[in-house]
Amino acid sequence: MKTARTGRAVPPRRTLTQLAGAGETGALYVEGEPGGVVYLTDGWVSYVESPASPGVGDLLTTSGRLPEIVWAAAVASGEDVGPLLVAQGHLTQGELELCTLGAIYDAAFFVLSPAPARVRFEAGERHRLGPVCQVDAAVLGRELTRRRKLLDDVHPSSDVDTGRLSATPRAPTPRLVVTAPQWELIVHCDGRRTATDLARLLGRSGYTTLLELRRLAAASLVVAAPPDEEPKAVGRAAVTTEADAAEKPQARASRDKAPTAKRTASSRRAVAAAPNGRPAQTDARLPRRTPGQQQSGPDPPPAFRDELDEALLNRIRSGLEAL
Amino acid sequence: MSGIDDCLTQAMAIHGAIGASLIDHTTGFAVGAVGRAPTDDPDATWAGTAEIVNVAVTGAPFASARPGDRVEDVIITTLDGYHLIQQVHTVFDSRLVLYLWLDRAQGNLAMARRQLRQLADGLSGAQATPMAVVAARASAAVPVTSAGR
Repeated sequence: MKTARTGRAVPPRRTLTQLAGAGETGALYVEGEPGGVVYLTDGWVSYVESPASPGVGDLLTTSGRLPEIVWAAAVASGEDVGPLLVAQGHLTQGELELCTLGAIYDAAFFVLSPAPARVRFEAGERHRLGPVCQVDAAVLGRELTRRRKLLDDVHPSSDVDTGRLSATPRAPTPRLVVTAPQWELIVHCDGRRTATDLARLLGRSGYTTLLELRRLAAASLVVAAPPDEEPKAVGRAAVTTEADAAEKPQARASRDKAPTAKRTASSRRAVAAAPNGRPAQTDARLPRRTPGQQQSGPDPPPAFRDELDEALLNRIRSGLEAL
Repeated sequence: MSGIDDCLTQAMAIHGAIGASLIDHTTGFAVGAVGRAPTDDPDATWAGTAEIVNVAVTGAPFASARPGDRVEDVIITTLDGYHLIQQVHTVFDSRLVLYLWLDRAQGNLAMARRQLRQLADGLSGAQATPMAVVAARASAAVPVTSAGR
């Protein structure tokens, strides 16, 4: 049996309540940003996953609790992953339950957001984690409402939820106290990562990451740029040459999370692929740009480097004149 | 070892136990609860417990400067009872505490605390390390005695 409900956007939580009331078993796919899937077993929520929050596998492997190979082998076995790991002695039942419950509530926060979304229900579909624990859909709904309110109580603006995050360069007060999870976040706010990136990178729950980020935003320690805005190159001269056009994809490539070797290769290709720009200028700038390419952070603004060189030259000149 | 339900059932078997729950201290949500809560509104109890834990964990006076130190439990005694709040330390990211409400006349605080620690460790799969606890106490006691002389 397959129920397609892709026609119109509805609040996903209402659909879930209907399915739970009918005691359905299957997977409720929720489209949209970030979207996700809610798995039901006889009307109980048995698992939820969303791209915005780390799943059970992410939590266990990122924290180092399980080697990735063990998790991958359990998934590849085709059996119910959770009970299998417990049976093999890799996890305790308690750990599995805590981890799964945490992941369910965390992902549900993102999947079952109040915004209407297009949903589709695949009856009979089950998650490969297997039966671990079951959550009442009504309890889940109430808890999500409470969590949303908690976020707004901390800091009413939702900028940090989706924007690219950077740590403020200067602390707003002479002394501050941050907790360990907050420190972890501040250190990794590099002007490009979003809350979702941070949660997945650090293997932290998506919701607690949001909560800590809102606290940091309320304390003016972290600021967010709108999600689509690329980090700006400050003080860039107005000459838009072909060389500039060639540089942009390169900068974007270096921002990707691809392995370093691949990144350097692709950025090198981008440089080589600018043959008919202004050869002289491109050649002259190449050696100066090379160190920036190897850094994982954003390139320092070129104009700043030019200024630095000029200042240095001036100082050398005045030094020579003084002789 | 044991699942959440077993753990709570065993907590209720502790002599003098009135109520027990497993609470997420970031959000004040009870993942599981058995027995009675001190007030008519269990949600308020859990939210309050979470608040106390957060104050203890993040509050400067209790944030020890020694690396590796952390809050293990929070104990509140009232004229009528004991409230034990013990952190559950999992390797992966979860922020949970085990809460036990004990009748003051029937319960034994020291015993209950030990038993609750074992339950929390069993739940999180951690190995109980009584030696480390003893060592930490001994080193904490040293400055006090030397200051007394």
